[in-house]
Amino acid sequence: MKSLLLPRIKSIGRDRRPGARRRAVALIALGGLFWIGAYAAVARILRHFSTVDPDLGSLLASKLLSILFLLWLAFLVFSALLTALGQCFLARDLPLWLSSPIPLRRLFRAKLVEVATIASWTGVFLALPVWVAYGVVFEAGPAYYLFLAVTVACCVVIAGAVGMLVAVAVVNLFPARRARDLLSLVALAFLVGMAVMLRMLRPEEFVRPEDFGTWAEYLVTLADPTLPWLPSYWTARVLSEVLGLTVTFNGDAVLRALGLLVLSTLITTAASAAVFRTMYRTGYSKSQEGHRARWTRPAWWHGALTLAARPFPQRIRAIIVKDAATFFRDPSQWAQIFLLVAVVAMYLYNFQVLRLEVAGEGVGFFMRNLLGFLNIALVGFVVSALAARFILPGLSLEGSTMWVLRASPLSWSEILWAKFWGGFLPVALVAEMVVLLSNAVLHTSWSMSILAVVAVLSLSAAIVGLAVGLGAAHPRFDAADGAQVTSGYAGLLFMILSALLVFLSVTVLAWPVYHSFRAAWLGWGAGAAEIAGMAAGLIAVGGLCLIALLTAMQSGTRRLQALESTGG
Amino acid sequence: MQGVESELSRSGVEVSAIACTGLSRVFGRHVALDGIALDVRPGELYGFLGPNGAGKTTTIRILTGLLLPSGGTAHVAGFDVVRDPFEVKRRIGYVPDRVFLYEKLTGAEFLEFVGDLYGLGRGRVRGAAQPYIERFGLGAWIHELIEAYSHGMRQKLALAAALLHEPEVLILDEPMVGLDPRSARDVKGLLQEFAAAGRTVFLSTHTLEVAETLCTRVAIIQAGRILTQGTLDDLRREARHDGGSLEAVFLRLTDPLAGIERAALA
Repeated sequence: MKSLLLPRIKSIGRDRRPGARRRAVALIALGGLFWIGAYAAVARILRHFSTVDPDLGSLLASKLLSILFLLWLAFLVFSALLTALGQCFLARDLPLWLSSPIPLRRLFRAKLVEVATIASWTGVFLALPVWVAYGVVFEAGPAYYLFLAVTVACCVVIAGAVGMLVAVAVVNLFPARRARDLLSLVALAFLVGMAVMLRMLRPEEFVRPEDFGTWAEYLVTLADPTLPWLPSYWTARVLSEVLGLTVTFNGDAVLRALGLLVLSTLITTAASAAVFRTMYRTGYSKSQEGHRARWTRPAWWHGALTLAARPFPQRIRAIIVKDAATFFRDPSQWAQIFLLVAVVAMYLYNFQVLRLEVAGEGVGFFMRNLLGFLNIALVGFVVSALAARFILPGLSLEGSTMWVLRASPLSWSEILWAKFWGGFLPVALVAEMVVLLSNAVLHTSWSMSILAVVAVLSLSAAIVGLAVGLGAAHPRFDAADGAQVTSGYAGLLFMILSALLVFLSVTVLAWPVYHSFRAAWLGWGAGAAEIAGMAAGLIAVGGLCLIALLTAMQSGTRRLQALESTGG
Repeated sequence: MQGVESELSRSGVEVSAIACTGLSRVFGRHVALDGIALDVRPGELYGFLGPNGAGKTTTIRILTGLLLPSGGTAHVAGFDVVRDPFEVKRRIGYVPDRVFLYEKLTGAEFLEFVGDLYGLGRGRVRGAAQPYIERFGLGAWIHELIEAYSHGMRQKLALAAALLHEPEVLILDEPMVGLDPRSARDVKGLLQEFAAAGRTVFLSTHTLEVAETLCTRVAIIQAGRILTQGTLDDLRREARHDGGSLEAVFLRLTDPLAGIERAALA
């Protein structure tokens, strides 16, 4: 098994791309900052629980731990499922492995270690400050960390084994490419459903004890175990006992929960191995089949895209149409539109449920327009998220097909501007729709609506430009999918810079907006001075966005030219 | 295939289709090309041979404007690849050694896309593509997604795309890899017609039989240096291997011991 894992182990730390060390340092620094921030936040919450009432605090902390482990395990299983599909059916080294005389049981063990490690390392990394915060706040001894290591290891193995079991079973029903698409759809539907359900439940009301009939009713609800037949509950139970979050220490409960956890680890691993041995070869054979884009393959579809991009010069149009056609034929890409629709729906729903009318007419007017103003920043963040997911990886995903563009008489600048227009138009359309709809829901003043529309248009252009420019300045032509680019150095840098841009723009607009509100509040109406102030603010934001856009595009172009010269 | 009045001869003075002098390329400490000189004439079918890692693909990437040289000059179709890369790209067709295409486009859409990149109208693209589609037997597959294509079909589609804009110089990196015998024969015939029309083919290959039967002249590169170039007879003379096959000549010239012998003679 060691020999099978050797290529992957040896690859660690052998990133020879230019700037690899700088990126590693930046990632470690950002990771460190995240750890410190997450630790501080969780420790503060846990201490706050204890200050309210020690018993209630322990109960709340235990409940929170149980819910966190449930979510964490769900994330791990989902991640393992997608990783298993990729590693067991789509990985490029599989033909080499499968053509050599490796017994299936050895292959299973190697793949299980690979899947469990790849799928869980980010989850463990993100959860570590939370677990340490629990240990520090509740003054845990070494036993806590020992049990933590054992239980987390069990969960990681269970997630890997379940992921591989389901992946092998699903691929025998559908070819892997289609199975991954299908799973992407199911996973998205699951995420959307969870998010919508969570939102509709209004958790902010649930955490208000005064809304419950009696105090006892509230405590009983809290003490109720969260899905007691899942490994996440057994893990949380063991750790809660060791941390002293229960009224009295129950050694039997710890042993029972730990026993169940270890037993379920062994059973899922054995079941996964059995399924792998009997179904993997037929599944791998099926996974070699391709699929057809039934709805988006016909010529009329391509014709419609070409017509929509008609205003652009021929070469720019060609790239826009090619990118759009590729997007709509890749279910793992277009399926994310569902997620986008759900996010927008929840966004608008949040405004809908605000009870501003209870605040009185004057305060209501102020609040509506204040929210309309802050909405600019929120939409800016939505645009950043969209750009990070869809636009930032665009150039990197050209990858091995880049020769087609580079061998033709196209400059880097033309390629990047084609990517910009292809991203800006749909993103700006979505952003403006959100702004107009939320302003309609909020009943903001017309001046606030115009301000928001213009500001969001400028921000969309700048953020999309930042995504294209930074994606070009830090390309990952070897990336297997967009997520690798988004979660890398370029993604972090982009999120920081776009957040900074949104913050600066809103700060610039704050002063004229404040004066305009004040005038309206005092019943003076919007005079020439207020309108001029708003216009000046918008011009300043426009200038700021234009500078950000052009600088990012130029920096991306220059970097690609430099890469061409160094052969990087 | 119609003959074209090449820009190379428009001025009345025929210049080289490809001319390199002192061309070098360094990657960090590794010298991939060490001052090579090439002179390929219009109408030639020029073979570029060499062992693995000799510098063939690096040379091709420089000639196609995908990589900038570290030193020396390279002219293709009369234009400098560094100063006028777009003029060069307008006049060349290129197919790389590993043909990666857009999996989610159909073959027809890919040809239209490439036509658009070269500023060709839809009618011209269809007119230019149809003979190649028929010749390469791609007709039944042309409206299928490329992800369903075999390696050979991708190779043929890429070649059709490279020919759409009627380039003056066709640069091919290992064009016969993955082609079945019939397709290989079709491609060879096409390249011969292309050269007979006064255009130039520059191809790198490991298949010495291809170079032997197809090329009018060949160059052999090893460790970033041109060992020799000329007709097959020239190479035989140089290798002191009269009447031998190109394989025998190639093996003799690229033998490390022969290199020592040559260095001693120099």
